[in-house]
Amino acid sequence: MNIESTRDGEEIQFRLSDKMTFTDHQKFRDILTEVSESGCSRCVIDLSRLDFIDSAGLGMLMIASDASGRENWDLLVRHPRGVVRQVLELADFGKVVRLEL
Amino acid sequence: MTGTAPTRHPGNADCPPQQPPARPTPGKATDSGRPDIEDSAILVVDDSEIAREIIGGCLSKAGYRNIHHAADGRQALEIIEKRPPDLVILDLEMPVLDGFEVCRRLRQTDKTRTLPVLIQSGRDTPHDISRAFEAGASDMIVKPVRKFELLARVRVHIQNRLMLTQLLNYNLRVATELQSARDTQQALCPTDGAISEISARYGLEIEARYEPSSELGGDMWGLCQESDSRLAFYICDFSGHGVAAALSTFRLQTLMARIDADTRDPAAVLACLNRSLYEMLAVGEFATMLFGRIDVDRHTLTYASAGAPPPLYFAAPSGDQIGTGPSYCQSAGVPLGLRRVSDYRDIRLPFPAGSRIFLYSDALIEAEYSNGHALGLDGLLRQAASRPTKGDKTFFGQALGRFDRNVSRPLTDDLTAFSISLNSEPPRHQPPGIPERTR
Repeated sequence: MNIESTRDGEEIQFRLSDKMTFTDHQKFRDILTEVSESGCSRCVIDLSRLDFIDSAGLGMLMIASDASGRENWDLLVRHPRGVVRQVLELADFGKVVRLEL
Repeated sequence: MTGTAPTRHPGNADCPPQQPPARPTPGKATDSGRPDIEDSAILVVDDSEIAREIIGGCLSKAGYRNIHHAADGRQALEIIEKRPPDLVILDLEMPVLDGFEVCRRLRQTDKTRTLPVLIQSGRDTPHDISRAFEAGASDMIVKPVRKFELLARVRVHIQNRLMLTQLLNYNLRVATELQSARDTQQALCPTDGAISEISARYGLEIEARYEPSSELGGDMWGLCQESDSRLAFYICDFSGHGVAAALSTFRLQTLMARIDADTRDPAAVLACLNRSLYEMLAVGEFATMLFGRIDVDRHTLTYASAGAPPPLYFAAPSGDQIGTGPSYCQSAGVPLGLRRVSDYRDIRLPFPAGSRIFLYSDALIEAEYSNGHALGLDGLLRQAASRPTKGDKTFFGQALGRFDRNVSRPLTDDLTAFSISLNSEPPRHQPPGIPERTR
C-alpha cells in the first residue's frame, strides 16, 4: 500500500493506492497517529486508487472509525472503485462509516 | 583419555557435579528451562595430550564440568555422531583425519550443521585462516592458546548455541501446537461421514471442501439438523488469520451451540451472534457470515447474510423449461462484531428438487491464479454459466478443480466451499440413533 498525504487547513487527506492488506497494519496505524498529532478535525481517506482490500484492510478502516469517535474528528471514506467498492458494499460499510461513493 | 567413548577430564572424572565454592565464571543463564552454561558439553580435539590437558584444565578451572576429549578427527566424529556436544574446540593438524576435513563433514550433516567449531591452531597465515573458515569453522584462535581469549570465545559460542537451541525448541513447540489447533479446527467442521449421513437423511447432495491456509485459519462452516425436514447451514470467515482468528472460530462454535436454531429465523441468529461477537472481538476484528436453512418439505431456502460472499444460486428447471441459469444471491450486510447492534434480513428462495446453492469463502475468488489475476465474482459466474444449467451436478468439482490447477500451495487464505442441492428422489427416513443436531 502506498500513501500520499495532503493537508488543507482543518482537513487531512490520505490517498491510498495499490493493495491494502494485513501487512499494511503498521502503516495504517501511522496514519492514525498522524491524524491525531495534526489536530485536524476532519480526515478523508481516498480509495480511488486502491486496487484491492482484504478483510484485514476493512478492519483497519473500522479501527479508523473507532479512533475518530474517541478523538473527536470526522472520518470520510471516499471513492472506492472496482473490487474495493464491491467489498465495501458487500459489508454494507456505509452503515458503519461515512462513505462517499 | 583417547578412548572412543566420551571421557571426562581427569580433574573432574570422579566428581562431576562438584563445584568449586567460588567459580571465576559470572552468573548462570537463568531463563527457565535453560541449562547452566557450565553444563554444556565441550569436545576438545587435539593429537597432543598436553595440549588437550592444557585446554581441558583451563575450561574446568573456569567451571565447565562436561568436557570430552578426542585425539584425532575420526575419534572426534565418532563421539559427535553418538552425542553432539555444544561446542567443539578443534586442532587443524592431526593424524588420521585433519581438522579441515572434520569441519567439512560436520557442515555436511544436518545434525551438526550449526554446531559451533572453534579452531585452535599454530597455523595462522591468511591462507590457513581462510581455508579453515571455508571448511566451516565458526571461529579461530591461534596457538599458544591464551587462557582469557579461549574462555571468552568459548563463552560466546556456547551462549549463542544455547539461545539458538532454545529458539529452535520454541519454534518446534509452537509448530506442534499450531498443528494440533489446526486439527481441532478441522474436526469442528462436518466430517465426510456426517456429510453423507445428512445428505441421505434429507435427500440432499452435499459436496464440501475445507482447506485452511498454511497458518491457522479463520474460516468455518457447519450443518445443523434442526428437524426431519429442516437443515441449517452456515459459512463464516473471521478477519485476518493466524491464532487470533482461529480462536474466534472456536468461540463461534461455542456460541452456535447455545443458539436454539429451531425457533429462530436466520436474521435473528445473526443479530444474536453479532451482539456476542461485538463484546468478544477487538476493534477492527469481525466476521462475515451467512446462515441459512433449507426446508425440504416446503421446498424453501431462507438465509441471512452478514457480508459473506454472495452465494451462487442455481434455480431448478421448471416444467419443460430449462432453469434460468446461475445467479448471485444478495448477501450484503454489516459483518458480525463491527457494531453493537446490527440488523439483518431474511431472504427466501424457492428450493424445489434440482435447485442448488453454492457457498464459498473469499479465497475462491480472491486467490491469485497462475496468470496473475484473481477469479473474481465475474469469473466465477462465467464459470458457472458456461456449464449446462440443467442438473449441473458437477459444478462444485469443476470450480474447485480449476482452483486447484491455477492456485499454488500453500494457500495464503483459507478456502471453504460447499454446495447443497436437492435431489429429485424423496429423502430417506431418518434412521434411529442420529442426533438431532450434528455439526
